[in-house]
Amino acid sequence: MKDPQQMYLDPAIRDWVLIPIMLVMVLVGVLRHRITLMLTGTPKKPQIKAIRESKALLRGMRLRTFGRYVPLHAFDSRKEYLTKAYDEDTYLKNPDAKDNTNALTGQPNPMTDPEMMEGMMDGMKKQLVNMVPQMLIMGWINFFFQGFIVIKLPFPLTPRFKSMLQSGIDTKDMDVTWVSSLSWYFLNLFGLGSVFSLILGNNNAAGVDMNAMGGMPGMMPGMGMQPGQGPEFKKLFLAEKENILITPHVWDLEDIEVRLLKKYGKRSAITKPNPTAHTSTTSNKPKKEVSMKEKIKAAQKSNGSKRR
Amino acid sequence: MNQGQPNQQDQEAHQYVQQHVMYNGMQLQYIRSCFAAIAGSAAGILGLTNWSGFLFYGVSWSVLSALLLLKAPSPSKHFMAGWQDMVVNGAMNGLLSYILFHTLLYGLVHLYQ
Repeated sequence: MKDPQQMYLDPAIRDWVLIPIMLVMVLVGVLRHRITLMLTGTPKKPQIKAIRESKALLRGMRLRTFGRYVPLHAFDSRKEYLTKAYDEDTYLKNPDAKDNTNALTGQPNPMTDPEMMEGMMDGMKKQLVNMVPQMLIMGWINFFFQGFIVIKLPFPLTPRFKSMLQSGIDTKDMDVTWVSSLSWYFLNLFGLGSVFSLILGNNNAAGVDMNAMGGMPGMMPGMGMQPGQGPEFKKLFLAEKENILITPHVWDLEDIEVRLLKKYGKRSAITKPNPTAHTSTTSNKPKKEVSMKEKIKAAQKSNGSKRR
Repeated sequence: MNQGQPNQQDQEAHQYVQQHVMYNGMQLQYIRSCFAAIAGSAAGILGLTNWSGFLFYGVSWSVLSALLLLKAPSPSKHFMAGWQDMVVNGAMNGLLSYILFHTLLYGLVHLYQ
């Protein structure tokens, strides 16, 4: 194990570089958070048609998931109403927006759709407010704090990182663990996210998340993709309609009286129950199915190879 | 035909009041952030380097998860999203803060004498 390089660093570095950089980043983060709050203002009220569109889709999904809780007639009437509504575009936001759709994607043009414009502007504003201070601070650090080591990393890294982490210093033999102030900046950038969530509460605009960092180098493709980003509701509605049509309905409370009696031991589990007056529609079906199944089985037994 | 009880409870697990689940999540995140900072500081002061540094993080993270799980053994009763969520979710975020505080205190204590 090679002996670790021991170096003594001037305490002045600690006082004038280490702590100030950290302080500046914390303060700039808080400032960014405040500015973002001021820029976006009160969250604007979404339009009722847009909400209705998305909630209609949710309604279809909910019917599929929780259809067990309603009896058959309720389920059927809801199914019919929803499939008719999906077909006839009653829930679409812009039923006559089919004129100015893109030839490629078939979606309304984002320039004419005002709410999507606003959404895009908000996103761009946020990105701007996040990018500019980062650039500024990086420039400031590069200008003032260049050419000396700031701190030693407690964990090892591969030599490939040397050019990135020791940006201003041109020595060959120094460990990668001795780093310059720029890497201290990066370390702070990633690590202060949770400190911001402690100070500023959740949903703060100051922390860095991996999505934003991934978006920084890929900003141009991101901008190109954004106009085609809104979900196309007509297609979603049609897909949902198909899903609803093929969903079977099994009522949770079918045979509930038998199950209850069985639970309290009043009836054996072998015999099939006699249908009572209340569950007339749903229990006629099992009777019919049983008779059909028996007929088919009898036919199969008697015919045997002839059916093949 | 016999759907019975287990299926219904399965569905109920996703039907909790969303606000309470979110509140619990926020509390958890608070705990994790504080914990990462303190553990990082401890590791820096102790002078752990290289693998023992990360090992310290792993060990203390498991201790924290064990304590949390003791407090809330059955997640469904306590309005939380499940034990895997609790343990694994914040580990990455905590790691970054841990590294920051670890480096900072290591430098402060051991380098600048």
